[in-house]
Amino acid sequence: MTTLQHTPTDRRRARRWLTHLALIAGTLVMVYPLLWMAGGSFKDEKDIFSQLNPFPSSLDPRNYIAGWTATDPTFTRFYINSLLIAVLAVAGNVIACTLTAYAFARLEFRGKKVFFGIMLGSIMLPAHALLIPQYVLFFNLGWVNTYLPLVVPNFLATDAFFIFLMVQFIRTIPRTLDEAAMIDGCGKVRIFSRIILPLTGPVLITTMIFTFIWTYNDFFAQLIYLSYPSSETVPVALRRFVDATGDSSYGQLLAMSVLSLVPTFIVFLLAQRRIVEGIATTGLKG
Amino acid sequence: MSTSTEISAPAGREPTADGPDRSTPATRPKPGSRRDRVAYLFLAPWFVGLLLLTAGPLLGSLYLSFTKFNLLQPPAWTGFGNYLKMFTDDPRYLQSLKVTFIYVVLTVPLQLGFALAVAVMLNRPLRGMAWYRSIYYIPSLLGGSVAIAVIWGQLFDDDGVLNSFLAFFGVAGRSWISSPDTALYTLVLLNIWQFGSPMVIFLAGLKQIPQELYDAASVDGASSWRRFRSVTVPLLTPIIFFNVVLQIIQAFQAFTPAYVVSGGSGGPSDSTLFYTLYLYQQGFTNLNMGYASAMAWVLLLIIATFTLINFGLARRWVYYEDR
Amino acid sequence: MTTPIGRRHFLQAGLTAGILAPLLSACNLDPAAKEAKESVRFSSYGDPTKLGLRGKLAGLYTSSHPDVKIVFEGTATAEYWDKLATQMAGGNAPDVINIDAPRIGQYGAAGALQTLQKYIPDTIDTKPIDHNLLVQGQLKGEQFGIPVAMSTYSMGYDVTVLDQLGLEHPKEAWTWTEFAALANEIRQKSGKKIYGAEDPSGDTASLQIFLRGKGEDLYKDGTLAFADSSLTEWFEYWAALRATGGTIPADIAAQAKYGDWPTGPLVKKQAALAHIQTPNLKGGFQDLTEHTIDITLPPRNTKDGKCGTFPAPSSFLSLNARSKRADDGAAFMNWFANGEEAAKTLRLISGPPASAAGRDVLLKGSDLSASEKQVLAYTDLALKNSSAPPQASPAASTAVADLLLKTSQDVAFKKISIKQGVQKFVADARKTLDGK
Repeated sequence: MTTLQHTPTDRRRARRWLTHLALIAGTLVMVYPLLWMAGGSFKDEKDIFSQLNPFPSSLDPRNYIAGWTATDPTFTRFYINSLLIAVLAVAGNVIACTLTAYAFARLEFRGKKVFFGIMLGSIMLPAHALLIPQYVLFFNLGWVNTYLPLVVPNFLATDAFFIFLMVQFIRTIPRTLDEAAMIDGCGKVRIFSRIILPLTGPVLITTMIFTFIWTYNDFFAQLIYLSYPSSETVPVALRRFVDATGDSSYGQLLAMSVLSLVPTFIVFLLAQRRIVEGIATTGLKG
Repeated sequence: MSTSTEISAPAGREPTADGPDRSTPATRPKPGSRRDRVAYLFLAPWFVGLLLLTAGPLLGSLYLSFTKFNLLQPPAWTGFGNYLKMFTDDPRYLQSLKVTFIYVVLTVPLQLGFALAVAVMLNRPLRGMAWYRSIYYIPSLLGGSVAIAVIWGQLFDDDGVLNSFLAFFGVAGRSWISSPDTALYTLVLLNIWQFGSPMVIFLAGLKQIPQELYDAASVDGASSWRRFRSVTVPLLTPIIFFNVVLQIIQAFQAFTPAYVVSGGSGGPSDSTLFYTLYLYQQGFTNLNMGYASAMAWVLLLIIATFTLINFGLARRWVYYEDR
Repeated sequence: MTTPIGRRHFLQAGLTAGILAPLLSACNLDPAAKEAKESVRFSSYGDPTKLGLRGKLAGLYTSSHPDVKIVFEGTATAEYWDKLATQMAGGNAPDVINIDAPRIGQYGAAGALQTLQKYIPDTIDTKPIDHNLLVQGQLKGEQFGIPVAMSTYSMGYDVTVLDQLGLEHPKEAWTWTEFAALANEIRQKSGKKIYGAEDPSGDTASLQIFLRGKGEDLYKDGTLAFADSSLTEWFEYWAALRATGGTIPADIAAQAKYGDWPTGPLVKKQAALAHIQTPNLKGGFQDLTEHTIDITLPPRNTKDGKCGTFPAPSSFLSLNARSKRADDGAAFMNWFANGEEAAKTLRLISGPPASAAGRDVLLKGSDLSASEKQVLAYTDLALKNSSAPPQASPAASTAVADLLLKTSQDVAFKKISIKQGVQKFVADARKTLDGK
């Protein structure tokens, strides 16, 4: 990092400290509930709700062990399933949404306005109303109880959120760059791969992060389309720990919830560096 | 392009039309040309998805909205019956509209303002930023997990953290999460707490702004507030616009917070009965899928209206680099 | 123009993944999906323990019946109904369906379930099953669901608190007046530290116990079966207790979502009296508090009046109307409800077995735990004191239950008067029950 490029004046140093102070105070607010959750995951069932102190008396991992093996198959299988679906969804979204977004942002064609409207309109209908017709469709395609309904839509650019997101980012790239490349004899495809793609680094990473996390957490579609214990995913399995008709295992719920955050946290921690390094280090806009 | 003109450019630029369609009339080729073919090639996956996966269910739900459909027997045509009932004979529907509007009006500006402020702060080249960024995103990682219900209860129950804090000052609290007057606001807070997604989008947008512009502005002696006003904000407007449009759409469709925290009831006393939560209750608990579908299409009209207004207003304040 | 090498590799990797991904996912079809066509699908709901045991049973049946394969599909309770409704609409619901009382009415009336008459008594033997339980799975005299286990409404009390305060434990035959007196005493003697009882005014099961004690019921022949004045009396009873602290205030009551045990006032030690469905006594209450919890019969209207409690099936097994393997499904249902292995595996996880055959198996075994004995003893007591069971719930009973909860909250938070609340509830409930 290049923090100390200039000799810091007192004022600058004070401001840096203030920033840190504000950020740390914010961290406490953001993290307290999670601290409580992590603390609870080490507590006895009886103590979770009766103790205000978030810190457990000992780090007894039995909720983790019991929770991991409470189901048949164990969580190992659910993690494999969840990660597989999430990775495939990321690949699909990145490819399909970039292509679509490039067309909407840079190319001219007949019906553009109408198609753009349809694209945005497709995310305005609440998911619960689409569920039944979608299920009928996927059932008739023979896709129920496979991962196809969870993954194929991504390869067909059905998530307008990311298309619109990328359109907005591509439109922050000066058109002069395209024009210069065109003069050099580049076609639309080459402009896309040589200019637009490299310059949209941060938003591609953003798309990857969000797709990964949202697919990983997307519980409803996975619940509906996957029925067999061996094909189940992490969020679906988590729901079983709180049950209105029987024993609720809150300690195990908290333990497994804490663990379920690990993959997404790692993905975010690693990927966010790339957002931030992004364009700023490439010097492309000079 | 000299940097000094670039800084003042956005502010001084004539606001121009701004839909996605911005073709220059002079260069518009004939229909069916190579230009169209190239574009359609890029759009091919999207077209296939639209025709195969999106259009069918969309039209299916439109059809269902004109029927009485209990999921177990074939739908029966009822014309505009569902739509009429909504506005003439269903007080809970009107309640759900009210709750949702309050939620949208409160969360969108608060969450976005907060997300932008934090993004700007986290964009500074200070030590440990990677950790701050990740920690600030953790609440958003939780999504609509069941753990949220437990955590939020722990904070805002009658014996929750907030009341312990208030008791310290001798103030008698109450169960904030389950009093009709305050329950909705705890959900607003929950949404603000999960501000990670717009924050990351802002961060990515901030990174698209060339450092040279800031350097030039510093040389010109601009204060940091002025740099923010005249460099950051104008160049970030397409991203701000995106977040405004999408957050409004998502806030209208908010489901999970109320579903998880109120256990699906929208209670107490319907004070957290979000539009989509009521839609879900009608469709899946009461098995009135025809009515639920009609509700969905009315919501689509409401959201589409807001989105169109947004696109209309965007002409006045969003600046693109691509013209 | 300088493109970082890293990113180019990154993109190439992404593109390769993109081409491979559809192939990969096509290969990754779940093997079970193909088998499902030739097997009997059995769906169930519950916590991990219950689902584990039922999945184990499906496996046991498959291994002892080589010509039938049972494929088990387990889902958490809260989402089970959404999934089932979706599968029904798509024509892809399982063959044997684990279902609860309100849905028997809802799904049965719509023709989504098969009548089991043609399988009784040859394939499914209903003789060992308690008649009162069977009736609750009948629609217009035909059997649509086979009860598996029974659950009984009981009044739970915190023994530790009552002993500390020097109060007598409630008796088997006690009245609502005595209940109120005890609740108020708890409040007073505890120095207003805790409240007397939970507030069940929005709970249909509790209201039903109260109504049945007066010779009425919630529903009969698909419509409300009680006088407006009885509901007024119910709301006024709890409003009076709310005023004295005999029951918890409205906000704490709203926070204790029914079924979310750790937020319940008995577990949180905010109140010393709360109703308990017998299968939940151990996991839902006793395991979550270090206080001792005991259960007794719910209060009656008068000392020598009827007790409103009755044994209710905790869940049923039903056959999908569109099942192509209905014969095999019916045989499996019989094995599940009456069989020795099933009783030994499930024990009291959902309450005592509905079938006398199953109960015998358990009683013969000498390995009953303390809480299992507690439940069995109480079930005996409840069976002796219970009156004729209600009919199967009407199709809209879940919607009516939501309505009662909402009305009770409106009343408790003083948004409307009791009179308005009763009028509104009765009118709206009638409309809902008529399917308008």
